[in-house]
Amino acid sequence: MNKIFAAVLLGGALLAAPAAFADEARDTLLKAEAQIEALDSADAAMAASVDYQETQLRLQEARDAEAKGHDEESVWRSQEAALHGEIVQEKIKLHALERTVTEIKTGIETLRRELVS
Amino acid sequence: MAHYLKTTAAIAALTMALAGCASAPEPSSRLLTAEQSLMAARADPATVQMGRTSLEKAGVALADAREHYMDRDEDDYIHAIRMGEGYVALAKARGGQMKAEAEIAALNAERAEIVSETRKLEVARAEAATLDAQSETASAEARADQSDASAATSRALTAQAEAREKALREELADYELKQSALGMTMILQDLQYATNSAVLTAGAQGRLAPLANFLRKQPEARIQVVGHTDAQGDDAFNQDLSQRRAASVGAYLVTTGIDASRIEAIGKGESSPVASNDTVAGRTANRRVEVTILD
Repeated sequence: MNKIFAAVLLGGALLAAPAAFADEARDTLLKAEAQIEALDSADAAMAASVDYQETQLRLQEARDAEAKGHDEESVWRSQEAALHGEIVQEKIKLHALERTVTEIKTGIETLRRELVS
Repeated sequence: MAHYLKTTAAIAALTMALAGCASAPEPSSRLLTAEQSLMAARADPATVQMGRTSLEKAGVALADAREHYMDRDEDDYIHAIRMGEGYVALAKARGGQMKAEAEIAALNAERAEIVSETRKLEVARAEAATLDAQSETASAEARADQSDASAATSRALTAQAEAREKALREELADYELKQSALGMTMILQDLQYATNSAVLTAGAQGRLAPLANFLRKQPEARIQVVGHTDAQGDDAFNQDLSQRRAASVGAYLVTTGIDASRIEAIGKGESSPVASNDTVAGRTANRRVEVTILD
């Protein structure tokens, strides 16, 4: 009786595993899409164009893999897309800071000129 | 048989060699580059401070990548190295942010210092301008004061002169007066002298009394006495006569207490007529003594 019960449980788990993996792929893809959609495309193109293109490429690959039922590949590509999205986000911040540095330097030069004039 | 054994051994050795090569492939240049990049990131304090978690994940991912590469698990390798490279890039971006923020803080401090210097300079310039303006104002006021003083002095002198002239006219109302270049001049045409002499008659002395009074009241005043004759007679005689008559007036005034140093007596003879010598009236006008109160 116990053996029969264990067999049923194992069979159920084996049947449920693919469905669970498909759900994970779907969730990962959705999170990556949401993260990438939140990026400002203009800032992204200016501050990290290569990384932004990489993000779009990996996201498309994740969608394609998910459509083909290649769940593991879809998860990996989604993870890669999400990571690049995060890189883009940080580079946008870095670019803004570097722009601030340039502006302050320009301001200082102007002040120095006024000081000596 | 021996040949077969040799061939088999050679094949076996080659197979083993190939198997050895297959089990330990050289790392790909991409993997080596990613690992070097990770090492460089770990050596950068800002990247370590801001991207510690990302560097740890990068280390794990690149170790996986190396393992999968050695195992020839291409799909796993590609995913792992992409993640490893990505985490290193993420850590570097965050380290870069920290450096930029530090630079911004330093630049803001520098800018604040320059602004402070600029304000100090502006204050100094404003103070200098104020001092200049005050100095200019003081100079202008001094000039105005000087001008006022000059004007006051001028007015005082004018008033003094007017008062003196008024006093002269009042004191010397008995005489015919005219203003000459030297000062106020009295023309005495009615002084009586003995004929052809310079001796004043008693009437003439009375005629000079107001002048003597005036000179006593005005101890600073000096006079010039000029004698004139008509054209009758010798020129030299007339010149001498006019000189003596002028001196006679001065001598009389000295007898009334006037200091001789205040009196200048000269004779002009017939050289300065005021009327024609062809008539009696003209000659009478020309015989005269003029006393000028010197300014």
